[in-house]
Amino acid sequence: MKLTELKKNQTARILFIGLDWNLKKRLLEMGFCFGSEIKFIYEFNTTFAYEIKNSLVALRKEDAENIFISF
Amino acid sequence: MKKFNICLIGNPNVGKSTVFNCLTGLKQHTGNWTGKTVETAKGNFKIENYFFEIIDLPGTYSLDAKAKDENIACEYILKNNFDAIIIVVDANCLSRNLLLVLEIMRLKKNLILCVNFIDELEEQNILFDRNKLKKILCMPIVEISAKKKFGLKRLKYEILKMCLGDYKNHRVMNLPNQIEKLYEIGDLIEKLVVKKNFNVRQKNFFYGWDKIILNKFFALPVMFLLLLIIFWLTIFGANYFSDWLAILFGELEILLRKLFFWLGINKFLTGLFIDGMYRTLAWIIAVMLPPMAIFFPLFNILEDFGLLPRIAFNCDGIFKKFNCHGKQVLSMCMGFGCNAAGVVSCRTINSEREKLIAILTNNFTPCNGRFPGLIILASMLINKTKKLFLLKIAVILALIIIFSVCMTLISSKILARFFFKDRESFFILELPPYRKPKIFEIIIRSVFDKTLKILFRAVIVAIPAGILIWLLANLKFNSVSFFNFFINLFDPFGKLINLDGKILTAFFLGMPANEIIFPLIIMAYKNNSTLIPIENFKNITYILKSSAWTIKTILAMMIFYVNHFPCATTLLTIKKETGNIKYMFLAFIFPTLIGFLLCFLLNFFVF
Repeated sequence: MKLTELKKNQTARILFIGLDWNLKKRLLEMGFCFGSEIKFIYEFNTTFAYEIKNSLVALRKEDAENIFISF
Repeated sequence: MKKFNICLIGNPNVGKSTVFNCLTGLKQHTGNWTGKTVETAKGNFKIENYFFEIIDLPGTYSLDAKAKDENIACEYILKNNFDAIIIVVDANCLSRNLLLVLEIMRLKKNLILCVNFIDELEEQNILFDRNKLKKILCMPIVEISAKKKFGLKRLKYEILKMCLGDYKNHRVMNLPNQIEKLYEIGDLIEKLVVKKNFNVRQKNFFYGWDKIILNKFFALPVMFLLLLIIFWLTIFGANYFSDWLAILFGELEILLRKLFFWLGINKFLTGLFIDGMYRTLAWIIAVMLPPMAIFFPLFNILEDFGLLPRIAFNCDGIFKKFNCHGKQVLSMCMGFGCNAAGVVSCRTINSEREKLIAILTNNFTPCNGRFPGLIILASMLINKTKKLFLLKIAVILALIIIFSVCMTLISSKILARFFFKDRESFFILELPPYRKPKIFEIIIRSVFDKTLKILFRAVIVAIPAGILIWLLANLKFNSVSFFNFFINLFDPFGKLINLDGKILTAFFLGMPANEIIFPLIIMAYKNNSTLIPIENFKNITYILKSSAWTIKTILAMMIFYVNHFPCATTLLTIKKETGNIKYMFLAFIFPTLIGFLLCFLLNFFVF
């Protein structure tokens, strides 16, 4: 399931990031690696904010759609 | 005596600059948002009888970074050798921070790990096992709270010990180089070291203020209101200071004149130095300094609080539609203070295409040097005797700001369409927790960091500009001064766009600093050969009103004042930031063309 399908305050685990390396690397640095817990906090327009590893990270919708998660 | 080289590195927003300040006492400005330290800062300090030079590097998430400010850090740490490297990490998100630590461990020796915000862990009832971490990482570990000035003595002690070679068996580690692997290690270490109690009192860093600031309905109005308050405080506060400065400079001019007379300096030199150089300088300082001295501290308080990344977050949705980056809103806000500073702040935008767009369009936001001129124009549109005079001016100014924001967005779209077609773009931004701003330090810092720096740059340009202007106005060729020659040359172009040669000449001569455009215009209208004395600051409106400007002229003037070529300082900054002279020319031509076009179109709409 896609990261964007997560409901507010719901927690899931990251499975796979289907993005090009530049972006993927950046996400990895932020803590988006296999198995890390991620929680959906806010959305504003088409930008989403997630809590991951104790920090709050903002992403665009089209990028979040390519991140896959499971519970 | 040998000087030891040490450096500070760490993720963005972990308090490197605060640690730096605590060590050096040099109060470098710290901000609560990613990429505050855009250049390296150096400082010196002494422990016992040993001298240390410490370098504060911009924050970076890993050693292979994309954004320019992060790249500085990577290159710096890879190319240089240090007696000690202090890695600052945030105790709240240790596993993420450990990635950088592990990466550095692969390449460098002499590391000290400095765990910041340890007090915030205690507040949340989380246990942190320092000895275990020390055993795992094989490096000295210091727990500190830079804000509460706790643990700094210990840090100094460790630095000294490291530099004197007490940790001899310290060596480069053999670690895997894939990020995923390093992450697994980081995660594992965190699990071993940090123990959460079951009755964790989760402190909500994020949720309190965010309910208002990231709310769907309130977010944009609250943001706009905040900006308006800042502008209002800046404009009206600066008004008083400008008046005082104008009087002061006026008195000083009289004194200088007496001095020159007493010294018996001839007329030419007196004109050159007092009428040319001194007056230009006085105008620039009196108009520019007060708004800047108010604007930057206010802006920095918001920055320190952690609001700016959230503003970027809120705006990204709108900005994306115009092919720009959410962070551009921050460089625009900075541009309201000074366009050159705005261009520099574009460094934090991590995708190349958006960064260039942000740099090239920054000029569309009217800076503090241009604001007083806009106020003059606004007050010319309104009859002063009528009621609600100030409110109407404020409304007109707000409209101008909205207009300039629209222009920025539209021209960003145009640039993205025609000039930078296929370069990637993405938006990933960490929203830091809110932290209480340290107001006193901010005020001092922003005055020294920004205001004085910008003022210094302006003064450097103003001196030759003043001399040039005076020479142009006073040297004659075939009994026509060069100034008048230009006026006649530009007149047909000026007439075409509802302005005239005098105004256009003023714009070109005002390129070193936009503050002197209005004095130059008046000089042209009154047929003087010198700028008007600075005491007449308040009377500009009356002088201009008598020069038969129509509504059309005022409107065209407003448009051209917002959309024209950037000042010399900004152009040079653009060249420096992009490293390409081509972009400097583009930044010159593009807004000017748009300004010409809009002013020309005015012919068809206003009669």
